[in-house]
Amino acid sequence: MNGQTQAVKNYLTAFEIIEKQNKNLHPEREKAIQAFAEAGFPDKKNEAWRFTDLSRLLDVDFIPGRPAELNREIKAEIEPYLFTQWKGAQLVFVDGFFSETFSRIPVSPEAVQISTQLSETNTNHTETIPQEDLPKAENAFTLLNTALTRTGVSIRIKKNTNALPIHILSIQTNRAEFSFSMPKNRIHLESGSSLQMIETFVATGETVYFTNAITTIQLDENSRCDYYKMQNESRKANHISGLKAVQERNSVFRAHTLDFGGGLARNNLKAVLNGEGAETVLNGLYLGRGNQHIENHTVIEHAAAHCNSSELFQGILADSSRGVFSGMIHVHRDAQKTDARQSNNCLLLSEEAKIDSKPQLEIYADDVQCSHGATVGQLNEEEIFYLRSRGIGKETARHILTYAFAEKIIEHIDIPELKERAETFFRNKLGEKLHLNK
Amino acid sequence: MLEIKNLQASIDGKQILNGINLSVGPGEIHAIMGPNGSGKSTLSNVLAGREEYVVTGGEVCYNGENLLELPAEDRARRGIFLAFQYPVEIPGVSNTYFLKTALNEKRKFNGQEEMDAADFLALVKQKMKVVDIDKSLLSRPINEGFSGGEKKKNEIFQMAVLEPSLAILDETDSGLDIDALRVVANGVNSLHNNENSFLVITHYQRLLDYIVPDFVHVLSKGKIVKTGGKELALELEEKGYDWLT
Repeated sequence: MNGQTQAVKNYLTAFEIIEKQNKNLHPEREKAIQAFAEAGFPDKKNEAWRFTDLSRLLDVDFIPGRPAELNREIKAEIEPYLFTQWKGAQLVFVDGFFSETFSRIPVSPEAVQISTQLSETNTNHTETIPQEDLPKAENAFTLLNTALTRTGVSIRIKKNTNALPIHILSIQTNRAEFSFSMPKNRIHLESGSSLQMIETFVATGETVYFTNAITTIQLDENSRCDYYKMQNESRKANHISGLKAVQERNSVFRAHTLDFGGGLARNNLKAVLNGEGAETVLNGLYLGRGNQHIENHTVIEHAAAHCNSSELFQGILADSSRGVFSGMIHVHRDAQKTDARQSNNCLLLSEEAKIDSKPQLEIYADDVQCSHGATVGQLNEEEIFYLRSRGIGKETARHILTYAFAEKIIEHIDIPELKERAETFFRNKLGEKLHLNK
Repeated sequence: MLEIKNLQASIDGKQILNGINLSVGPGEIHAIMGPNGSGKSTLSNVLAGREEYVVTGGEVCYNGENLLELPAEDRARRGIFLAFQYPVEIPGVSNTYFLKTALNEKRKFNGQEEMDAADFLALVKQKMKVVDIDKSLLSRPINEGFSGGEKKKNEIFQMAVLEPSLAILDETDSGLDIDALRVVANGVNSLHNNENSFLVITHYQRLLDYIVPDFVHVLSKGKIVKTGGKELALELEEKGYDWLT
């Protein structure tokens, strides 16, 4: 059993290794690792981490990953995850390293800039996203990411450009057991531009590793970003992710997160509505089985007037899996005419499954419409009987009804390739022969 | 075809059926009438296999098999169909998808090949005529937002597609206006042949003007107290149930 101290020491050592290998590290890394050394990992006394058992993460001394050798075997494992009819860029990372072999970057117009190697002098994100603006409770992981990141994507969509969709695919092979990867992505949509993008996290085997990913998206005036994240990591992996969107006037940010994998998976999702008329949609679907632990923590900062936000999270927990949802809506004093809605519904498929749901509203403006609701329930016995009375088996009936619950999120996926894949992941996972209660 | 012997059943510890005896042969239409609380719906639910109902005695034999040992889905696959008194709404599951799954489960059970989408749609088109159901209802989630009449029509439509050998209509007439009643009755009559049987459970004689039964049974306090021909229904309409119970 590792304690907090040993775990912190491990990442300080990792930093030293990276420092030795790279001469010109950005000073921000040094600052970040020092701050991390002081703060350490959050424990359960920290309100935002009250339900999170980090022991699976702290118990292993994860080491920096190495680029995989792309032999024929690995290639065969990776290929099924690529979108074959994809028009836009497909940026593939294998074991945390950019793979030119699998990636495809169509000759992009000047208006779209993609750079895949975060150069060592390029980790300072303070120019667009001030460090102090990052979610505070996330500091340990955000700091670690800044200190130790070696890969990531930087995308800039120029003014009034409708970019082709971008798929960022991170694949962990089973050669990289016990390694960590800390991608840092930065997306900037200039005014009037639009982008559809997907981040996919998958593993080719059931190995233990640690992903600590950060994506920040800056949306200038009148821009629109449709963001999807599909996480199907190994069931033994630790997946911590931070997503932050900062929105200017009349921008639209629509995010869908789909969580199927991970032993411990935690998404910290934040949208900051800085300009009037901005709109945020934050939807999520998660399916827990075995002893998976899946968390979604959302923060919506309504910092300007006349903005809308809506959140819908549909969670399904089977076996002895556990889910946590916390949703903070913070309406600043000047954010009049805010319309903010939040809903978290959870379906418990077994008596051992458990959800903790915590909506939080902090409203400092007086002319606003805010609502939140949380439901926790089981499959409806009347509905099951109705299906069975027509000859549909009990197990199939349960699957049909569970899928209908998930469909409320899946139906919003506007990218056919992704929708199909999400359906497949969902159905396969639901159909696994673990014990479903009853 | 269906042999019910001394059937006793309870729900939530309350005894409802107190020894029912009933024999239904192929091609026969039996009406079961009775006042509220006499056990009509309990009988249909027990036959369909609803698990909240506990069989406390007796036996039910269906085509030589012990029906009570089979789970609900296996009864349906063997040809038993319950048209619900209160069909449930199931958001998120389309009528068509549901019905195709149900039909193919039944076909698989009978050793038939699964029906593909094109053949299924052709079948649906043909059966829609029988029930006069609106096409738009089929792509919608099961019964969601349907009117009372539409829900009952949907039950009959499902029956038409699944072609049961024994259909149990549990107060299908309740809450229907005369037009909807006629549609439901027409559906039943056009599906009826000399091999399949119907158990029509109703409180009122009205439905039996359109679906003419071979036998009428009066259920009271969980027992059949009188059996007669179709004229018994008229007598009940006139005299009520009090003289029998």
